[in-house]
Amino acid sequence: MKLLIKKIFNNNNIIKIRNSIGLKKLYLDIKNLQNVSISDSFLWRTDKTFETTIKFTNILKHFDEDELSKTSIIFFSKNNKLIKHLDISNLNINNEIIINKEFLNGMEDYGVFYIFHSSKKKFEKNILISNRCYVGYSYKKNLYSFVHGNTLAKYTKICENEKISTDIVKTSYLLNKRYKIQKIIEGYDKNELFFCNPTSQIIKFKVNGSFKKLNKGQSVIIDVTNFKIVSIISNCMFLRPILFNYKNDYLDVHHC
Amino acid sequence: MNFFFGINYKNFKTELQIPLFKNSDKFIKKINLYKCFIKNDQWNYKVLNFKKKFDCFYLIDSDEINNNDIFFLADKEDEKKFNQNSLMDYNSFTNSFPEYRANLKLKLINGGFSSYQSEYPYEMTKKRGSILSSINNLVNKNAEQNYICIKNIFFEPINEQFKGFLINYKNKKVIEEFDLLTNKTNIIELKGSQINDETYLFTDKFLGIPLYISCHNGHISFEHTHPPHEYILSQNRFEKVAELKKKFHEIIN
Repeated sequence: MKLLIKKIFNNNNIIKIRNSIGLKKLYLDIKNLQNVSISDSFLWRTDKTFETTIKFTNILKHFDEDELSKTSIIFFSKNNKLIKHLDISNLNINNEIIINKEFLNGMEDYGVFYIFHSSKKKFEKNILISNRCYVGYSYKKNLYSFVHGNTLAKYTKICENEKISTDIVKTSYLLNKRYKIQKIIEGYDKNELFFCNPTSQIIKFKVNGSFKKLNKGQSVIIDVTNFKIVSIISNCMFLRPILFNYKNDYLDVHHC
Repeated sequence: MNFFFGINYKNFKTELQIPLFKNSDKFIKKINLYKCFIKNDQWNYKVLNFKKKFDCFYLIDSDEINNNDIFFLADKEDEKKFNQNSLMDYNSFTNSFPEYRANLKLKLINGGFSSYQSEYPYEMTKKRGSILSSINNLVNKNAEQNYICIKNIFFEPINEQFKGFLINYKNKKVIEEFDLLTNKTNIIELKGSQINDETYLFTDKFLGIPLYISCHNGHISFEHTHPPHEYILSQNRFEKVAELKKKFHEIIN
């Protein structure tokens, strides 16, 4: 009986109700995951002269000396259309991939990518791994400005050929999750915020009162140049953007 | 709670923004900014009467920043907990989910700028251990200058020396060894030849936050690496990381 109540209490719809009414709110949940590789939603961009570099660790090789492990990097457009899927073997422990328009068949845009590790090895204990990659953005061919992963988004079983799942980040039925960016953004030529939807649900949000909507897996860059401080209210329990500050040709990219 | 810090080095200017609200928008009016520093082997505390920006940020600029002082937020009541022999967990104001974010902006004179969040959690000040960080992830071999900043804050008011190493993990060799101090922002200049995907930063005895800076053509990049246990979210995370760090300890010994 106790188990049944617990199961009902942790059902996704019940969690949405809990988050709507403020009863034992749940922001993220990974506690029932078994032997999975988790990825953040990482931004790539090739628009406006941008190039992106991904620097990542082959986690299974690093921690388990698993020489046969594979890494998959899957690229989606801002509208969640699959555009490229890389399966890579024989990686070093630390690796780098440059994403420019040539890499994406001439595409000058932005979107997200996910990175997963897989292995045929049998693990004695439950293992959850998460690649927090370092992603650098070069504007007008200048030095890359780096950020690390920010939002646990999707996961897949470490044993190969399994489906990709989502909804680690929880949602609410109401626009009741407030997030005020703890940085003054005045004094720059331009400021942009990058948001992605890390869930399978529709994310609705307001940025300083302006309404936005993201379907499953979609992402968006929003201009917030004319604001000093930014407040976000959404139905997503963890919607933390990446901030791009521009001044002259200089760029600063960071989580905020 | 969190402590905050800055960097004072060569041609860098810094600005530290400390918000007086939580990211949930909860605002606390009667909170002060304190500076904390070691003098005569004791922690000394000083309230800073800085003007607030937009009533909700404290701004600390380069003139107030050195590599020794740390900053924190507290109210009058918290002053009763100030202890000359130990840093304490004075309040929970900066505890939040998502995590509270300050902003440390590093600027080049007549050049670019780059930000990092700058919090140092109180829990980390109580621990000893080792930093393990791949240096290639956040610096650029072809940049004009590359630096590692290693920030340690330890709860006791001591400037104890400890060792840092650059290690080639593939060859199992120490490339360079350097002296670091607790309760200090330590800055190490990297040579281009030291930067490759086999080189790791490793420290013995004390933890800290490794921050990486690259400068090229007036542009700058500044970011921290995650500790290795961030890659593993299962219960065996510390066991896995300990196994890995053991291999690095064997190299330095």
